[in-house]
Amino acid sequence: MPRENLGEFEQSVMLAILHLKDDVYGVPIVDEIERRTGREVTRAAVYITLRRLEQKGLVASWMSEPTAERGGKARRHVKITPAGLRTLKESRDFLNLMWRGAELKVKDAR
Amino acid sequence: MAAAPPRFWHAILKRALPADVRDAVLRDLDEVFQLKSAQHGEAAARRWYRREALSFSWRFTRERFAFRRRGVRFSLIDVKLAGRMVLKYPGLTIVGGTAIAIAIAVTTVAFEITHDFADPVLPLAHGDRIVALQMWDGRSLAAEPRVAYDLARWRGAKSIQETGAFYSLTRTLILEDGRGEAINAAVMSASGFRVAAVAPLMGRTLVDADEASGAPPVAVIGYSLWQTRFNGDPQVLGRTIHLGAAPGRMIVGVMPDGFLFPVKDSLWIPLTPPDPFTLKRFDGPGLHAFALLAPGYSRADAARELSAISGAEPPDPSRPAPLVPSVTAFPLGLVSPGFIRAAYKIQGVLVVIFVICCANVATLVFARTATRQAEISVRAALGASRGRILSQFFIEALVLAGLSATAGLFAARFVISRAMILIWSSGNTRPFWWDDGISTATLWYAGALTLLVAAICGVVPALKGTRRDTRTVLEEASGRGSTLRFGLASTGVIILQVALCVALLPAALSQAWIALQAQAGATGFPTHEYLSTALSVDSESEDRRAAIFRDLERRVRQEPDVRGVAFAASMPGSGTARVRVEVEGDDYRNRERPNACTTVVSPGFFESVEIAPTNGRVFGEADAEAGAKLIVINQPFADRVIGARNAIGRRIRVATADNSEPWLEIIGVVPDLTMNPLRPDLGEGFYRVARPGESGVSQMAVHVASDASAFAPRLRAIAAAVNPAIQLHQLLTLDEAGRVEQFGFRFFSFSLLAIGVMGVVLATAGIYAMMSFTVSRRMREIAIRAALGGSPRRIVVSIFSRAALQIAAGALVGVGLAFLEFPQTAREIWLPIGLACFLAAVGIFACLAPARRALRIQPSDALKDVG
Repeated sequence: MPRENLGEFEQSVMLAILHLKDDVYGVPIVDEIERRTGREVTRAAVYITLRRLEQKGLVASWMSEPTAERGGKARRHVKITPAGLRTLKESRDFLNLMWRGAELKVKDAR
Repeated sequence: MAAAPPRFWHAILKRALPADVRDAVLRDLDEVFQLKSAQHGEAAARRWYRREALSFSWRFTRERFAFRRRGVRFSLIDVKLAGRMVLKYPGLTIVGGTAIAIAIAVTTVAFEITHDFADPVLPLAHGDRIVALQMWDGRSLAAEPRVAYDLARWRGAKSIQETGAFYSLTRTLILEDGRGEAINAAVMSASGFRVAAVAPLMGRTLVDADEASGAPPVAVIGYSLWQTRFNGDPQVLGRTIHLGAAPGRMIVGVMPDGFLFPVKDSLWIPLTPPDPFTLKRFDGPGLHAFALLAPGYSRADAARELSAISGAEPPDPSRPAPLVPSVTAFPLGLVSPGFIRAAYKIQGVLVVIFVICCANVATLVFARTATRQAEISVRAALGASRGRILSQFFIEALVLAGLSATAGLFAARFVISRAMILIWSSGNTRPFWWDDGISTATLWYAGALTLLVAAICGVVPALKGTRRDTRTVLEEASGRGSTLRFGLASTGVIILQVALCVALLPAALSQAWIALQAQAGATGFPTHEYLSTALSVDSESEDRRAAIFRDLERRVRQEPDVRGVAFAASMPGSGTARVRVEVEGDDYRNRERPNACTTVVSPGFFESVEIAPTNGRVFGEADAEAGAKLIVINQPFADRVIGARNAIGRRIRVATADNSEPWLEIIGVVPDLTMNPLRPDLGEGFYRVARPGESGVSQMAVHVASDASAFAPRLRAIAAAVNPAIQLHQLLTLDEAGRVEQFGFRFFSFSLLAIGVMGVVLATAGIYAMMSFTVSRRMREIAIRAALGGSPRRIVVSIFSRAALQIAAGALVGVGLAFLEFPQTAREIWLPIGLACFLAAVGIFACLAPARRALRIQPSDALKDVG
């Protein structure tokens, strides 16, 4: 049983962070979710989720060096904390346990 | 040029986003906006931004209030009823609503300005932990600026993560091509950059090694300076800049756009700390000290710890009381303590006026409540609790107050934005933390005021209106007239209203009249044709400065468009010093010495402003040599001080206790050039003479044949050519400069007038409602007395005597308060008396109609009801 219950969207955001190797901040996270799922996501929802995950200690953020392309303004980069990784894994395991034996019943569903 | 997101939606977003993610989200959205703008065009990008702004605002606001949703229930019916009441009583809505709106507008403007100094949100990573450190002298209520010694000892404090210090410098920045311009520079410790925690855009910030004596002179420049003076040169690092006559400094870094820390600076040079081995306490340069608090420590914690550290130092025998370290909001370290004390005092006075205004509106609401007795009692009889009825009245008042507060906030926003446009366009740079909008704190403040209005105007009258038992009220509802009484409170309110109106309104009217006069005040010449500026030169002696100014004057006069150049210590239409003077030979044993304005002008001043003397002559070149013992007076001075005598050749002097001032001979009389723009009626004055650059004669006005403001770049170029160290401040046409100078005064005056007029309208409506209601309540008594044979004259006298007594008492108190300061003009004498008469007439008129109705009731009808 995971200590923190991660919602579907929270998992999506955390997985997007994992998929992105470097330069991880709000803009590429939104792009990554949309690219992988083919669905449009609400940008505000991503930022709210990031904030919530940071408040739970599952994600950490820091300001990067300012870049000339953004008029000398810095980016707020994020990364998943060890606690975040653990929680993400526990969430997946929890779902796997629940799915065990149920795959057949939804196999033919459209 | 990069496209900019829509300003309005950007501002909405800024308000809606929580501080911890605000910058990151705004920058990310800006990045995507730029991308979309490049891919799909600016119009599409702006539409996208608007949608995102709405989405973010809604979601973050919902997130913020999510925890409050549970347990909060309010009845929509109450709001609906309140809306109906607003429409049903348009008189009360307009009078009361406007009064509340004006009161909220004035109070929130004052709060916003105070808040931007006293508790602003610093737009830096750890802005909430950056504080000012001062050594406070509780006896003289002033801060000791020489804090280098104590600052060095505070560095080890647990509650302080980093300390820094700076002082501001205005110097002429001279570029490699010889051009010069005045610039704000911060001489700052390298640690200041660690406190601000903003990385440079290029190169580096100042480092501790730069502070060492003998270190190569370096400078860090701001983004705007980089863009405007170096055209965004990517190779700017390593280039040299010169500040006045000082050796050149190598540019080692460029800070990002918007970085102006510690105040409004675009150039930073290292502060060399005094030698710690020779430094004594309260010695060294005057500094603004600041600090970054360690995480988890409050200002109070830091103040305690710093007090302990400084308290361990041996006491300074030259000071009667030890100085105490104080840890305050960062901007408070930059303004004089008097400023913030005055701001808090004004705030306090405004809140008192606000409460009085609410009491007035409450009077009106109370009169309305009296007419709703039947409704209240029927609701009570049907089972509504007193609390339920009170909550309904509260919501009614809250809706009215909410609508008024919204209008008031819009008005406040408008006033602040107009004021700031005027201030920032007149050469002042905005401090980095300053926000022209309405801050969240001010919104909360306005919200609290709205609740206060609702409590005073809704709950208080309702408490009084629901005090009696249901049976009595139902009996009254069946036709026996209301017995609801205003009681002693009504007498108090009427006396207070009349007194305040009579005492305050004449002052407000006088002030507004003066402001109007000041606005219309003609200086006697076309000020829009004159380009004015304040001149200064870096660290030059007076002789050297005078030579530079003379050279500048000569060069400017050679321009084909220039018709004249005038120099003065203060230009016509701006304020001058006021002194007491005495005329040689006059006897002042039984009268006061007259006041007069005085300023110093250059020899060619009057010719340049094309003013001819009405008597005698004006200053010539030779007069400046005569030791400044000659003066020219203006016509009001000649009329009021000299009188019918011939002024020319007469001598006056500035009155002092020891009569040490020299006698000054009058050589001419000129028309009034508005030496006292704020009090044109007290404009008598005289002019002394000095050469430009001497005796404070550093204001220059250039009379230009064509567009005066278009001459500004040319004047800058001429000044740079004469001497790059010349600084031109506030380059504005004379009429603009006058407007800027008078703005504060006019704003204050018209606010006072608005409050005053609202006070009279409210008082008039309140007195009418209360008097009319009180007499209506006595109608049966009056009718019975008439039926029993009472003389109509005596009945009428008894009705009016109470009203007359109340109004007379208020008028007496008010006139007494108004005359506390001895009135000087007929207007100041007659205005309070006239106002008292007007309010008395209103009171009597309010009694007339119900009294006449009562006297016309048939005795049989009146007696029928007695049983």
